[in-house]
Amino acid sequence: MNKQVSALEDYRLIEELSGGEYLADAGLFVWCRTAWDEQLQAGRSSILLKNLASGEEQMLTAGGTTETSPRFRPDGKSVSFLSNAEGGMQIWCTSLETGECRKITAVPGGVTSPLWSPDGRMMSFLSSPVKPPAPTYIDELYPAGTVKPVVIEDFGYKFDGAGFIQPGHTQLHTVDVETGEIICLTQGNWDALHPAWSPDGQELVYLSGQERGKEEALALDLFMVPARGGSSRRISSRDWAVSYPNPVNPVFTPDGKWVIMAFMDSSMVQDPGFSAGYPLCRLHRVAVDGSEDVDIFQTTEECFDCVAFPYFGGTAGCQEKMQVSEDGRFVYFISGWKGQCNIYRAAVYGEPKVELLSGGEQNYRGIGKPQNGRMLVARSDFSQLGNYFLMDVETGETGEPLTSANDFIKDRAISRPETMVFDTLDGRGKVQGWIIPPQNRAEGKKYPAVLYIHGGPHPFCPFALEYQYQCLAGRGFAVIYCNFRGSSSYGKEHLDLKLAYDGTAAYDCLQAVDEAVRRYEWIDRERIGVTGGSYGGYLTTYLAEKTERFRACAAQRAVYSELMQYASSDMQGSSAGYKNFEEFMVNCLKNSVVAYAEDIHVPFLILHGEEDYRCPVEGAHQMFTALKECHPDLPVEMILWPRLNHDIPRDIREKTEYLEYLIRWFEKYL
Amino acid sequence: MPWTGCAGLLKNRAAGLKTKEEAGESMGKKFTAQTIEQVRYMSYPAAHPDGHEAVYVCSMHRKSDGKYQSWLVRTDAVTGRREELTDRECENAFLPRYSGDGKHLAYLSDRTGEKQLWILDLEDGKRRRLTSLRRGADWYDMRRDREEFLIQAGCYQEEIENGTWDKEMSSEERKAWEARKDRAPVVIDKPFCKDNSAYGLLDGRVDRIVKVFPDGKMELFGGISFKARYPVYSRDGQKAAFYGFPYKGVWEPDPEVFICAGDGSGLKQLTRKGRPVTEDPPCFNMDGSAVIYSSYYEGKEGGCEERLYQVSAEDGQVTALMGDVEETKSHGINGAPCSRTVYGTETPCYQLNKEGSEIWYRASCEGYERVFALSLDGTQKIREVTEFPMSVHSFCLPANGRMFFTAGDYTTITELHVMDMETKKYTRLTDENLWLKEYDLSVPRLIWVPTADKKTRIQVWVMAPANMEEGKKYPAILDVHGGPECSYTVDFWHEFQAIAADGMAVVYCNPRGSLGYGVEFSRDEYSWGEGACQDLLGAIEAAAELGFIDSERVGITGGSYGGMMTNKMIAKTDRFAAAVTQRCLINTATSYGCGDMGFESRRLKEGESLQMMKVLERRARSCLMGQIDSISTPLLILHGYKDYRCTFEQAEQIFIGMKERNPQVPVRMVMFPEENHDITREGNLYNQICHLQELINWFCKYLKEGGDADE
Repeated sequence: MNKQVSALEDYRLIEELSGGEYLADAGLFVWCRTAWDEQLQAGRSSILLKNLASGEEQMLTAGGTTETSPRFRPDGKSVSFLSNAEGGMQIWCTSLETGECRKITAVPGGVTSPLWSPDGRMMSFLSSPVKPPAPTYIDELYPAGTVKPVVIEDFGYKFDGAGFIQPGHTQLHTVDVETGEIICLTQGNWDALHPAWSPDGQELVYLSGQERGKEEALALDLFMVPARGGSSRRISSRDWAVSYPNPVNPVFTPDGKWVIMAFMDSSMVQDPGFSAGYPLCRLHRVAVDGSEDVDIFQTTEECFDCVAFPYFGGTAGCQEKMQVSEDGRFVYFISGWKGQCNIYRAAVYGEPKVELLSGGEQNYRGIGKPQNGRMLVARSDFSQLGNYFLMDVETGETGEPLTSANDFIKDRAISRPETMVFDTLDGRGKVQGWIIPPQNRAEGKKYPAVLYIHGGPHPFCPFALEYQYQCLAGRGFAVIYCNFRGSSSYGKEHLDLKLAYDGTAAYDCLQAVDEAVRRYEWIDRERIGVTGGSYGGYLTTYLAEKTERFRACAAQRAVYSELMQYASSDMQGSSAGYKNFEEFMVNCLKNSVVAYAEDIHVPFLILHGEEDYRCPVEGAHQMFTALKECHPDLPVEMILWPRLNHDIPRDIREKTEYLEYLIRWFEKYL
Repeated sequence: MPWTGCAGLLKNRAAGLKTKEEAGESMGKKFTAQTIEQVRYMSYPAAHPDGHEAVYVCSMHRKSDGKYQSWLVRTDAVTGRREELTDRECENAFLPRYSGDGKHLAYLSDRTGEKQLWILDLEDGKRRRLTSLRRGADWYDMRRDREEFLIQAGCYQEEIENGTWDKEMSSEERKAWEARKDRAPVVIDKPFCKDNSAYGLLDGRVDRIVKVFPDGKMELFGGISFKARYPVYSRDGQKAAFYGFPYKGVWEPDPEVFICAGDGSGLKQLTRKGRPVTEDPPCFNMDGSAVIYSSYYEGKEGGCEERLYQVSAEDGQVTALMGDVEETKSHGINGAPCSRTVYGTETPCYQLNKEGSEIWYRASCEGYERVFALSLDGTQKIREVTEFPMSVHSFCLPANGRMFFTAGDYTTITELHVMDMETKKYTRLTDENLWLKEYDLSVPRLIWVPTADKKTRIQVWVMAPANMEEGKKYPAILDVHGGPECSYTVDFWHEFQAIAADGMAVVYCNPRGSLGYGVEFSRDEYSWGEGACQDLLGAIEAAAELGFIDSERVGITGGSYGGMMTNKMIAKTDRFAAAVTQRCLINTATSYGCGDMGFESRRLKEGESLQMMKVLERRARSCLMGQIDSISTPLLILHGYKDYRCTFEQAEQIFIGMKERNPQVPVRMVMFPEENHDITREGNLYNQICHLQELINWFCKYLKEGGDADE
């Protein structure tokens, strides 16, 4: 008896878990659950608290519809969380004894990243002070309710997902939970990121680029600042601490003398624009007095990096991705390795030594503070979309999940991805990929397949379920995906960005398709389509131009013109290194897929958001027009979402409408 | 007209350039960018058949939100009595027309949400609504002998199919529709998918023709399956003609002239590649045997002008009604004046006179917009109907010997006038902009400047700065009009008055490439080559010779083609002390495919196919962006975000290029989130004020001593 297939309507059932925290002494576990609320006709995030002994579960709420980031007060008697109940995202606190819920902050513009001080008397948080710019004649000219023009005088005037705004910078603050008194700890034209309290509660560490020049936009250092206010002092300066796109939190050793943090491998940082690609990362132990900065990382065959950059598979995540052991001798971290996101531990002192703690075909997304020999972890894999577990810090073993999110998939004919690894044609490496057979596959029947190319190109497809792929499988498609050259978690050479753009990655994808066809005779080799978003959309278009392999294509939020990207993307372009601007322009065009539009001879779908400020929608317009002019009779469609940025829609109704268009295209043309 | 060589200009300097103090007059108010909020625009006059009164549309911005209001005013030609026929707080009204017997007035009004056709009984003042079009009416023609109309109305195919096209939306339905439109995806499968006048993507709303019967019934007309505009009746009402857009793909924007019977049967396409201009409705000749329309005549060596043609209703044979006449006062029709802000429709540019013997049309002649009459007897003779020193904006055919028209000049925005056809005397009937009298205005002075090759001459106007002092030199702004198939006319230009009032001279001209000076003058090689550049530099030099302009402190500005020329000039020379580029074009390799023009495949020859790299490389190498490194002039960039003619990414190209390549050059960009390519003519009041104020502030900063705007 076949189970029901996955369908886009299932997105209304999917629960995403985040911000889990475990308090061993009280046997309590708290987390945030985000899911579609039928009544609200919108997504809703709620805080859930579970007593692990009794199994009793209750919801903590301030009455808002978006409530996230729960944190136990160190004495275990209260839980703080962020809620939009009143005046934006503010910190609220519920007493577990009395049930009383009290508002702690009322900061204009809202707050993020709330953390308790070790003694539970204060909390730290980040907020962007909404400082209205000095009024100009424009503010006086336009009446209320009219749309004012935007004055632009420098780079960085628009941000994907935010718009044409002048964002304030995130500043670090502390609040006295009793009195409500707020102290602003940082100030300036820079962001304070990823704060953490020192064990004695006297100081906080945070990341910022305040002492770096403008040309080193992604260079961050560690700073210490007194919790009650005072000047910051820099404690690291050599290498660049890691934030975008793999944020990791710094952690203190229990004696408070050292901060452990991930830093970019400086030998791989060639220029501030990362034109060679994103570097690998290494753990450092940095003295809080700034006197020492020791690289404690060890690259081994089993561990290339101290961060993980999975492309999907996260319906559960902890607050943190790095923890120090209770005795201070080890630091636990998550590293991407050959598609896996495993937990490792590194020795804090002595000879660098990195050991695998928990490995396998799984995707760890967060690590909580070790307590009494166990630590909370968030994990997804091929059998479940994401849940929380408690892991033994010595053995790496986990027991039953603490949560049972997305149980509905037990009633779906989920198709387990089958792993494949093949040697590349150029002999320089191997590529790992997966095939998801169609759900409820019938013997003797042939099926079409869709190659789904991940974006980035640095993220990697992990050992986790992506529900979009399951929906495709539910509609009778096999899904093929792989970690082509340019993807991370396979070491330095595999990660080389050049390979993602010189055709190497394209060959890897073609090989993946050939490999899939070779292994499974039920794949109809004449009916294979290709799609992908962002870099994946670019490579989709590239493959459509360079090969005859695919019967239908769909490019999502892609880069079609490098020349247009130069001026219209929120990621600043550079024309440096060319004899003159004309040569720069022609070179951009040579490397742009729009310049070869006439080479596409198969049905082509373009999906794009009009508020995509990463890959501007004008590129889609140009590609669409080029295709229509070159091949007026070819099925070519462009679908534009007026309010969509560089993403697929978040609203469940809009998301399902978007994915329906995508799937229908392949149903029609494959 | 005798030419004045440059030497002669010095002699002319003294005349007419006294300051108000010297002339013994008191100082008036200062004209600023903000002043434009008081401007009232008159358009679309309609004459009563008896000729004793006329109705016109008056438009003005609303202070609360910057949108404009339009209302109907009825004025008596003899007594001057003035009556407002519609209430601007409840409705906007447009396109008034008297019935044949003069007893009723038809007009469009948005009183019920969308523009519908209304009839006002002029005797008892009662009004009734004739249509309930879901998406409103945009234009109409009426039969002379009965209350029957042909309407141009936008319709959605879905609403035609489900029968709601003729049912007005309730306010809840409208709210839901607008909310959905804000977020719903638009599926596009054809290349012509966006339009600047639609502020972006075409969403399936297509212009259709609707017939309204005397009993009020409405029906879709003629079984027309494509976009159709400007339906007109023949004199006897037995036929109808309109512009249809029958083609698909990259040819979809191309219209043709169509004809059918008055009941919509017998649809026939008359022109083939006739390329009629669809700014104005076509008209029939007297007996309905031909349809008269305008199209661009192209000279053998390039250059063009808009001329009148007629196509036979019988066999589609096209005859040119205008020829290459040597001594002619008008060069083609229309001349596409740079457009004052109108906020309404002008009456049709060309109309068949009552007797059917002539076509009366507007054209500009050496800066003046005049009414001309073209004889239809085959002689192609043209005579001037108006000769006075004003520019006619709209005219009505004479009614009982009286011709009503709106006109303006250097210091008159626009007012309604009436001319007695016998005596040729004309009287002004309105004083809608009486407030202007309180302001100090700079009167433009006309000079003719020979071109560098001495083969022709350029019409140049120079406006002295307000309160000019003898012997002192002032900064000047050179303004370049858009198009380039366009022209400046003798008219009131509020931007220039505001600039002059702030102590800077203004120089504007019609360089080669402009329309209205003949086919040869308008050639592409001038506008897109060196000719226009030379003419602009020549204009500034000649203006400087008048003695009050400091050649070191000259700024340059222009919009669209004028913005492109601004970019071109500052890349070519650093003689300009500051520049403001408006809604400009700079990089044709990124503009391809983004706006509503510029399909490449239309230029392909037989057997050729498109190769995108070739196309884009050609564009990259020939466009101005390659010269970005040579721009060292402080630059202000003004652009509307919803501009689909020259898309906003053009502004980003020049902005980022300047910031990256020339970081020491001051650059500022102001983006108007809701405006399109018509921002300075149809934009929100506050955006128009801000657009102008930004320009003035920039020039004051970099051109004036002390560098601050007088505020």
